[in-house]
Formats: sequence, C-alpha cells, structure tokens
Amino acid sequence: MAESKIVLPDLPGAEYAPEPPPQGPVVWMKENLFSTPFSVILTIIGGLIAVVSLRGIFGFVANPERIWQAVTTNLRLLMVQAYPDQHMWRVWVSIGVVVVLTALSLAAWRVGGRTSGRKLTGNVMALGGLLAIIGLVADFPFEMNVTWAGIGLALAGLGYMIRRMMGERAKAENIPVLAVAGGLLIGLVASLWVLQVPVPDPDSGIRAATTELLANTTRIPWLLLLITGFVAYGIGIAIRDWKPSRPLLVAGWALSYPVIFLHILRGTRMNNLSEYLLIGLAFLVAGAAIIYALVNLDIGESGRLISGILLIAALVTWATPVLIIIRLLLLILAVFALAAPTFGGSGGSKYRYMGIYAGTVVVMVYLMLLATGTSAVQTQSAVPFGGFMITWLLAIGAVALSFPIGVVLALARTSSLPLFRVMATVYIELVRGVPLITWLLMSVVVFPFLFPEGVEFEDVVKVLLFFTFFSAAYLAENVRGGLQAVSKGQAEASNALGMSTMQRTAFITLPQALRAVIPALVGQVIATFKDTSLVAIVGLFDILLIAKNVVPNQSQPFNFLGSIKENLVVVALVYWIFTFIFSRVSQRIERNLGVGER
Amino acid sequence: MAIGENDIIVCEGVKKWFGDFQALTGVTTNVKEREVVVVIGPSGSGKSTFIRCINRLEQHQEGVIAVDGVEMTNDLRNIEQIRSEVGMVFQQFNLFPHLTILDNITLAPIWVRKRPKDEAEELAMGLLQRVGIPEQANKYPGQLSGGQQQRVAIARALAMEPKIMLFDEPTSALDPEMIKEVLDVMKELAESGMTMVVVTHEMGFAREVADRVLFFDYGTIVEEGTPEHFFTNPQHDRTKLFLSQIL
Repeated sequence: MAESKIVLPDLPGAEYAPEPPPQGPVVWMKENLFSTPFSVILTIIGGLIAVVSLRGIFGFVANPERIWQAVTTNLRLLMVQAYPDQHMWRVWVSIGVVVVLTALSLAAWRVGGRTSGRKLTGNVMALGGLLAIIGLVADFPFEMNVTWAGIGLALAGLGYMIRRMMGERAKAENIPVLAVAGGLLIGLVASLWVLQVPVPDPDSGIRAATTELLANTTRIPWLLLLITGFVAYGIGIAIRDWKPSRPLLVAGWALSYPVIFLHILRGTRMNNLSEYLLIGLAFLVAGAAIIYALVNLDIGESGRLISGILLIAALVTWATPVLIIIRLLLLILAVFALAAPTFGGSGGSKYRYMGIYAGTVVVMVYLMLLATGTSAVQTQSAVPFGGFMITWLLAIGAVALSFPIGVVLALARTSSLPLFRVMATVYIELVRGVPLITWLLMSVVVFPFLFPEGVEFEDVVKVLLFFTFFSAAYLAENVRGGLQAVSKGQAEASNALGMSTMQRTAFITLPQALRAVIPALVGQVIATFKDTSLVAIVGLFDILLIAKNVVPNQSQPFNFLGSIKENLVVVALVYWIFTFIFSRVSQRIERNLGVGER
Repeated sequence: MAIGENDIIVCEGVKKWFGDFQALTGVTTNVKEREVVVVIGPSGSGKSTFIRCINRLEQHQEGVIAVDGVEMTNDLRNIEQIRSEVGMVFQQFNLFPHLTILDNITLAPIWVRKRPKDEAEELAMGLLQRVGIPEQANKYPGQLSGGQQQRVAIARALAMEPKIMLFDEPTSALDPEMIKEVLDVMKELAESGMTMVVVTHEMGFAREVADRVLFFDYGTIVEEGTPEHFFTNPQHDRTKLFLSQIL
C-alpha cells in the first residue's frame, strides 16, 4: 500500500510513464467542446446563453440610469443602521477582534501552501480574458466596450509576459499563497485612497454633482485594521509552537461572540459585578473541592450518591426563586460531578478536568453579568443592532447555539432510552412541520405569554432563540444521518474495549459522524445565514429591509426614490460573498480532515 | 459440567435466538486458564454468535455464561468490567479510522483503565514492537495494509492487558499473503500463555496451536477434542463430512 514505494530501477522491465503529448488550446477545445456533433450544438447553445446573460448583467450595472450613489452614500446605514456616531469605535474594535483572531488562526494552523508562478500568471490571464470578453459582449456604450476589452487584454498580456520572463522558474511552487492574499489586501486598502465615487449634492439633487473618495471616513480605520492583521499574524508565527496556542484560539473564537455583541457592541454595564463575582468564587472553591474528591476513584459508590444529590438539588432550584446564576452554576456542577468518573482520568487529566470546570464557571458568570446588564449605547430602537450587524448577530448566534442542541437532539433520537427518543422525535417533527416565518411571528406575538409575568426578552433575543430552536431541529437530522453512517463495528469495537456509552459517543461515534456530515452542516449554516433576512417580518431592520424600504424611501438627507434595484443587487452581492467564503472554508476543512481516512 | 478450579470461562446450556431463528441451541463448555480453544464449523453454525456472547456483544437468552467468576447479566457495570478483561479481535479489524495507530491503542487504557498518557503510550509502543510494526505508530488505519491493521487490532486489545483474548475469524478478510503475519502474532501470543478462543477457518493454525478444537453445527458443539483426535480420528459423521470438504 502507501508505504511500499516502488523504486523503478529495481523492477525488471519497469518503465516510466510516457510524457503526455503537448496540448495546445486548439486540442483542448476539440476534445472538450467540439468532440461530437451533439457537443458542438451544446457548446454553441451554452455559449449563447452565457453571452446573453453577461451582456444583460453588465449592461444593467453600467446603465447611466442606475443610481449607485444610493448604495455608496448609505453604506453605513446598510451595515449598522442607526448605530450612534460617538460609539462607532465599538464597531471597529469588534472587526479588529475578528481580524486579530483570524490572523492568529491562520498562523497557528499554518494555513496557506505555496503556489507556482505558472498558476498565478494563469489566474491573471484568465481574469484578463474574462474582462476582455465582458468588455466585448456587454451592453455598454461603445467607448466603455473598448476600454474594458483593452484593460482585459492588457492584463492577460501582462500575465503572459511575466510567465515568459520567468521561464522555467514559473513551474516551481515557491510563492506563498498568503503573501499573495496579503498583497491583494494591501492593494485593496490602498485603492481606498484612489477610488472616486459620485456623491449627491444638495443643489443638484441625487444625481451626482461631485465625486469623493470611496470610504472617505473609513479608510483610516481600514488601514489600522490591515496593520493590526499583519502584526497579529507575526505574533501568531512567534507563538504557534507553544502548545496551548490552538486550544486557546478555539476558546477565543467561542468567546468572541458574546464579547463582541454583548460586551463591545451593546456596551453592557455590569450592574451586579461584586455580587456575581462572589457567587462565582464560592462555586469555584466548593466545586473544585467536590470534583477533586470525586475523581479520586476510591470514593466509588458514595461519589455517585453525592453527584445524584447535587443533580436533584440543581433541578429543585429551578422551581424556587433563587437567582438564575445560582441555578445554572449548580446545574453545571452537577453535570461535571456526574461525568467525573468517566472523564476524570488520572494524573494530569484530573487537573485538566478541574480546569475545564473552572473555565466553564468563569465563562458562565461572565455571560450572566452581560445578560443582566444594561446597554450603554442608546438608539431609537430598544436594541442598538441593525443592518448587516443584526444579520451576523442572528446567524452566528443561531448556528453556535443550535450546534450543541442539535447534537444532543440527534443523540437523544438515536438513544436506546424510549423517553429521550420520543421527546426528541416530537420536538424535531414539530419544529420542522411549521414554516420559519410562522415561528418568527409567534416568537414575538405568542412567546411572551408562555413566560411568567416579569420575565421579558428583547425582540432580538426572542428571534435569536427561535432561530436557534429551528436550526437545531434540522441540524439534529443531519447529525443523525452521520451517526447512522458510522458502522456498527465501531460501536462493537469500543464496547469490546470496555468503554462506557458516554466515552464511546464522545471519542468514537460522534467525531466520525460529524466529519461525515460536514457538507450538510455547512449547508445548514449557509441556510441559517440567509434565513436571517426573514426577521424583516417582525420589524427588525436587517440589511435587506433597509435596502428595500429605508434607503429608497426614508433615508436622510437624500431620498433615493426608485433606487431599490441597485440596493437589492448590492445586498445580494454581500450575501453571496460571505456564503462563498463559508463554502470554500468548509471544502478546506473537509480536505484536511479527510487525511488518512479509509 | 463441573466447574474446575482453573475454569475462566464457564458456559452452561447457552441458547440464543435472532427473532424466530435459533442461533445457539444449548452450548456447554468450559475454558481453562492458559488454554487455546479453536472453534470451527460451517458458516451459519453459530460459532461467531457464541464467541460474541462471551463478552456480550450478543445477549444470550437462556443458560449461564460466567467469565472470570462474574456472571453475564444485564448489570451494565458487570459487563463493562468483564469487557475490559476480555480482548476481542474482529474479522473486519474495526480500527477507529479517525485516530492514529497510537491513539487507537492508547484510547481505552487512558480512559477506561485511567492510566497516565505517557505510560499508556510507552505500553502501546511496546505492543507495536511485539506485533512488528512500531514504525506505523503515527499513521492512520487507512494507510496500512489489511494484515498490518489486524496486527494493530491485536495490539489494541492487548493494551487493556486482558486475561482472555477472543478472535472472531481474524484472517478471513485478509489476502493470502497477509494471513501468515497475523497467524504468527497469534501463535506467539498462545505460546506466551494467553487464554484464547479463536473462531477460524485456518486448519493449519488449529492443528498446530490449539489445545482443544470445538466443532460447531446447528448452534451447538457437535464434537470436541484435541487437534490430534479431531483431524485424524473424527467420530461424528457431520465432522467427517466437514473435514472432507475443506481438507
């Protein structure tokens, strides 16, 4: 198999595979486009459809009747709605957190291979060719046709010249992909100092009177972010051989959501700081002592008794008016105590387990501090979230929260315990049987009646919860598919080794099931991301609602009446860019995890 | 059957049904410590079901199975306890494809036996040395040949330091040239004094290594005896027919 490399000279009669015959573009076209009369017809029809579509799309974009300044002047509205001026730094800091985490992760996971000059110039030539074709076929004014075709041809020619100059060296794979990406980013940020866009002028109306730099107010923040990213990447390279760097980054990503949305963007004031810290500290000390006693295996039966009592106590508190943070922390302690004999291990893993408990308590106290605080950012609406910001808030929140729920539901549905199985099945069938729009309307209209008086959620939280529940049901079915794909022999092998059900699930079945369904999970993520546009129905101003209603009707100081087409095109482009990134990242993860499989 | 002092596996009238089909029709036999028992028989005779009942991968419905003095009941803790004392090797290897060879072997010692990681890894490397493939430790199962995978599976079972090893047709899924490397490991194991129950079609192995041969048909033991007796002087007609077909 893989390790037995065949060394040619040792094998009598072995020969090297012949060099493939040289293939020019003519040969390629003959083989791939015009091989049979039928494929000639298909090629012509397909080509015509492509030409007509390109002509239509780019003619639409370049039509002088388009009011693109409706989008460029309202970019901030589309992105963050009415987020107050004096708090805008919060938005930039949030983006900065993501940039730093991304740069550190790129370094820590050593993302990015090397590419050859041949491939790179090939890409430039393809881009030039595409531009030239668009320039030739698009429904432009004649001068623009010539200009774009010229630019395209020049670009393609430049790529070809560089390849010729590099000669044989072009074949070597020695250009880091990340350096190319970094160069493109630098170019992009530099272009903010050059690109001019038309701006409306109070005297001559919304039709452009003057031009102004694109990103006139945001180019400095973007530049700072770019520099931050490069610095962070450098730091990442310096610390990536330090062993805990990857787990810490994973924790950082997990925490980034509450930190960004609740701490930074909502500007939460922590009103209960001293009280909650005291409670947290008490649980840290008491819990650590209990778990330390439980992982010492000699304790045996009485250990089960202690964790049983803890669990009952935790459940009882939910019926009493104890502070929610105490109920939650007690529940966490009970779960950790129950799982202690299974995952406690010995030696170092004992302390790691206690460390995970301590981390969970700290995070829970932090989250509850944020959840019970009040916002420092005052806007007309109850929550300071709107525009593309709310799209992200809902998409990431729903995906991150629904993932654990979905996995638990899937495990429950495949469980051998009938109670769990029935409950999970009923939940999934109920949630899937009703359209998301209906659930969203109910979240605002019906949901408040399900809770005792005094318990109130902001609209955006209600919507987030329902997105989560909805997404979890679909996710559960995807994961269940993965669980069924894991062969029975895997469970038998782990049983034969004496593993408990929990250990088998955590180490054997679930990891294999999840990696089997990555494509379906990514599909679910993309669907949730796009479904967030439905929140317009309950009056939350996401990017789509702003594009459709606010910009063309109510925007100040210019009213871009009739600019709905332009807005929708840009919103579609924004959605597409992000879903495309998701899908590429998932392909990469799939490839990486596939190493050594079967 | 009387229970001897050294009997580590005791089976009394074990019966097992799959729906209406009776797979085991009353199996009674004991296995002594350090004994190597080879189970042969035509396919569908219940020999695999029998060996899988010993560590309760299948549940018998009637009769008694006791392993190392503990009776097999529905008590989960008893079952996990016994399973950690009984190693099993499967026809299809059943290695964990998402873990490296080393992780495959150390997973159960670390989490079930609660051994420190470095100690478990040392043990695993020793076992890989014993089955002859220490250089594969950091590869994934999919990168190994069938024979190598089966040897890893044996090492994985041995890492739990079991008292008994069960082999369920360990060479049936292998190419002929790889069968020998697995049988050699099993022979070495038998010589080291391991108690083994082996379901196999390798008559050469049975003749050479077994202390006792059980011939299964119709879900029960039709004939048993030393390899000597079994291959040279079988008594039962069914046994004679089976041997004439395969030898």
